[in-house]
Amino acid sequence: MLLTSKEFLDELEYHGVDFFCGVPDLIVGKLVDLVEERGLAYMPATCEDVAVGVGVGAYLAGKKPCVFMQNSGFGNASDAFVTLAKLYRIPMVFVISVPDMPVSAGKEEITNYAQHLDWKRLILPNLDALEMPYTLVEKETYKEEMKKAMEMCEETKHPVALIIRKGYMD
Amino acid sequence: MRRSEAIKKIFENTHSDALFIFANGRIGREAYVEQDRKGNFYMLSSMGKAASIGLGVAMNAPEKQVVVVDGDGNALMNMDNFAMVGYAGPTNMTHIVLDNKSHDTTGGQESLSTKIDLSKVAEACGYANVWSVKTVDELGECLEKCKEEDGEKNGPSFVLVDINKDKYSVARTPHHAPEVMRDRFMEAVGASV
Repeated sequence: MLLTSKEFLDELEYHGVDFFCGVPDLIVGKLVDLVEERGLAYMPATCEDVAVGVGVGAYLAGKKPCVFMQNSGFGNASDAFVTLAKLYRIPMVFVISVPDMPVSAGKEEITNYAQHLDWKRLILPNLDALEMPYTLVEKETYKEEMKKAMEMCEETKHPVALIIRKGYMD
Repeated sequence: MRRSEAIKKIFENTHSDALFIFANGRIGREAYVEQDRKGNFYMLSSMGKAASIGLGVAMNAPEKQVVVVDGDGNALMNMDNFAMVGYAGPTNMTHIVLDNKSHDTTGGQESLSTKIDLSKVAEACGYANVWSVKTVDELGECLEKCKEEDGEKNGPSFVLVDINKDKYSVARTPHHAPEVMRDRFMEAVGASV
């Protein structure tokens, strides 16, 4: 069973996330629709790097921000992550979607698209290299994993990433 | 006009509890020397992001005047900020670009603003008030209008300030640790730390 965007957003809200900024893709599209339906504070971003800037500003004004982007978008956002969110120790949540990452063994692998192949392989090593803590979001464990991630975020005053792979959230 | 004169004037003609986001390079370093305050956020790097940070603050602290002091190089690096600010339209935001048409911090290399008028960009993106000024007095007048409009009917204001290149004014890198800047800024906003 897939995790629903509603369940995921409920959990973000449960942990106090109250400001959203980012660039949508097919995986987080429904999540963004829900954010708007619920009337949560939301700023559409032109690019993922400025989304981080807006998120940092929102935090400074007392919000608990979530910035969302596709894995390629994290490439755009890397410097803002390192020299703003990380440097100033901003506890914010990055939701990073990974299109076309193969679903777990046993399930049919979705066709690979050439434009996604490199980032799919590079995103997790890239997060490791930039010292971004992350957790892979799955239906079975998401509540527990998100609780751990959000607690770490607050305690260490450092951003955390929640990774949503294609085929894991609807 | 020198950068330092513009910065002095900006402090003089904005609300005493205004929140400032200073772009990296000489802008933040000269502001730090001129008047270091809790409500000053100095960008140490992340070039281009001053107006995005300012937008995030302005949207969520609507009762305060939020002043972004940007440079031409910074503004050009993320010109998409203009679109986001125009779209969101925070009435309490004043976006100032100190334009010396160069990357003065790194030795004065020419920037694209030699040919691009950033006030036209602000206008096209829907800033409610757009001014282009050449003297300290003109700058002061525009900033007084921004104060009047603060929190009221109008959307964001933009002031393009023509300044000279200047590598001789005193400039110091802010000595506060980044997380200290974060906490004292939040204190100035009135946000819980």
